[in-house]
Amino acid sequence: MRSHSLPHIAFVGVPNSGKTTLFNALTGMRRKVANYPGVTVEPSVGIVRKHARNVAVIDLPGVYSLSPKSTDEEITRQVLTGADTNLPEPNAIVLVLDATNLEKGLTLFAQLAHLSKPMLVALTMVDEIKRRGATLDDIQLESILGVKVVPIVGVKGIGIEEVRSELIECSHWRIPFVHVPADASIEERIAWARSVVGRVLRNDQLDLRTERIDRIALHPIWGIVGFVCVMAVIFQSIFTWAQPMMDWIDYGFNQLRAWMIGDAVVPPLWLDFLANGVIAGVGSVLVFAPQIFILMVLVTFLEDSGYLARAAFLMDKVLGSFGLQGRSFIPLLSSYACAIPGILSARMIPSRAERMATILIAPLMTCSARLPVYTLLIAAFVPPTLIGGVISLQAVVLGALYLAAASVGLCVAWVLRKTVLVSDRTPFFLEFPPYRLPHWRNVVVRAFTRMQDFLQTAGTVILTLSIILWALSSFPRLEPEPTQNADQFRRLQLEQSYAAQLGRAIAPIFAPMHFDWHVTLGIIGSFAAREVFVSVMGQLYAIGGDDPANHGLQQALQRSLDPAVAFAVLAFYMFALQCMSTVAVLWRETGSWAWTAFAFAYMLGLAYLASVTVYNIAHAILS
Amino acid sequence: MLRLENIRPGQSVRIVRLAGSVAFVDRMKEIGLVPGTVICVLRRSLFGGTIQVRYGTSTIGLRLSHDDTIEVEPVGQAVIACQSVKTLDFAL
Repeated sequence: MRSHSLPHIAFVGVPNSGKTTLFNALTGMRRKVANYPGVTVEPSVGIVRKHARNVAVIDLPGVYSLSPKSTDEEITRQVLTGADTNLPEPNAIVLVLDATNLEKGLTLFAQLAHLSKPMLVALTMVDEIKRRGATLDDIQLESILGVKVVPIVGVKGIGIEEVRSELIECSHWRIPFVHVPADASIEERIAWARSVVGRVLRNDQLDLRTERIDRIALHPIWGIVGFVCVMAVIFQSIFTWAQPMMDWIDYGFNQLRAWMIGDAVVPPLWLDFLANGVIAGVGSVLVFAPQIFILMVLVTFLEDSGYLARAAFLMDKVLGSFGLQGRSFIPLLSSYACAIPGILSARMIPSRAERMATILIAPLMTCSARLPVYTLLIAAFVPPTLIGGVISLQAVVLGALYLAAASVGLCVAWVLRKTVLVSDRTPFFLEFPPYRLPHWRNVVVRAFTRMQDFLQTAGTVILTLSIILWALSSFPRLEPEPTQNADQFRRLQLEQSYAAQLGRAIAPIFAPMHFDWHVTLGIIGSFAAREVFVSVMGQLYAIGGDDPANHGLQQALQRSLDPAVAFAVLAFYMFALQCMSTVAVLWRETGSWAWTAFAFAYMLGLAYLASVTVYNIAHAILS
Repeated sequence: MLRLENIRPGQSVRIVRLAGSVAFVDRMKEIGLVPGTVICVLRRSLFGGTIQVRYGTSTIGLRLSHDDTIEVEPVGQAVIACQSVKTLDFAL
């Protein structure tokens, strides 16, 4: 699509005005992933087609004004004035005006009018205002604003086709009237907006349904009960509902690889590259798709239904004291299953500083990929003694690992917000939209585009990194001797590989906690996914398999690993960001390699510190 | 002077002054919390701190701090904001 030659139309509106829903309804899947450096809530560009004519539409972040106070406002202003180098200056503007929230939208209109661009007003939530028994005079509104107003009845999609027809005729749109001078104060703009609302909106009443639901949803007891239930569903869905799909993907790719390699002890190089490099790499990208899709469906559903704002309100005080906000809860909770969907879901946090803090600590939440490592080492080195006859020492250690990582994560967030992430001092407030039944189309389209975005951008990085990891562990290549079986050969190949050489080379760095090159090789291998540690250990001890419950492997580790070292490894895995997929997603979502490097470095620092401390304490106690 | 975060839920007040950083003051004004506006405090979040308020047809959650605050004064009985909430009590 040669989108630069098309007319460009920018969609502007206050947050929660239904702008993105309208955008999705108009463009469907026809959009491209805008690669926008430096920010995460980037404008996305889509194509609207009617009668074989195309226009490009730009979905801008929701803003309350064009005065640049936040990143979102800065972007919106730049795009609208043509100061943005990534996008052409828009030819026209669509202002998405929420009928239930007219005052704020009109206050924004007063500023937009000064851009002197052809404009169309899409009036959303008209059905909502009718349901409350109010009437909105859109003809009167049209004559006040000086531009065409198209009412949209959300759920039924009435008005969408009219907007589509209007979009391809954007050169004929009128330029809005200027009512408030360019240098007017905010108070003057508000006063004007209020006077317009008074003229066009009659008999607007409180939304009884929303108030009724709020009395339960925000109730000191029932509200919390409801919140816990909703979060339990989210957690359950990404932890267990996504699991069968992930297993199928895993199984499918493993079968494919096994079929390609056949029973050759050493497959030819090209086959090895294809099967263990490329196919395995593609598999390690696709395996995240179910979790991302499911989480995004749920989060969009919560957001569109209006509950997300309530959940954020309930949690706000607790997370707010760590420099985060109520909306950080879902990304952090999801990170317990996997940091990838967790970090991706952080886009719903409007303030940049809080979003960044959430993203930067999400990998510290104990993801499910750490569990096999924990299980293996705990089973091998912690006796299953019952404490007080109730709870086993193994369970206590596991619980302590989860708890310590989460507490450290929150402290890190607090420190980050006091040091490097203070600049963006936008005050915290939440809009409480009326409760509504979300439209399935918007939910699915949004979840799908997020998944697509992940596969295209972060996926490319993950694939590249996994091919590099493959090369490191497959070169220099050995020739098998006839006396060797496959396990022995794989062990030898791994021991001779560049990965092992790298492991030996970096082992001195880990001397303070006495990690030998077996452990450092396991850590390097873990970049593919943390649970790979188990299979690397399996290969090194020529036992094969990747089952952490394997007794042979546990015994082999007990024989060759000092318990103090094992505990130090556990401490290392709690904090270290050794997961290339998380690295790729961090890069995608922070939009910067510098922040990604920072995240990697601080977590490595924490991991190093923790494992040296644990080694010394354990060594002192055990010897 | 009364601060909004100290107002008991269910009470209506009128904004007298916004105090704090420019970012805070401007943002609050942009969303319609200009002096003179009558607001009703609906609820507090768990453990306090964040409050839910209503003004005009908007309902928002606000986290006020020591530095960024909204100074308010009580309003007479005749005023509207919370009245709709009180009528609601009959309706529910």
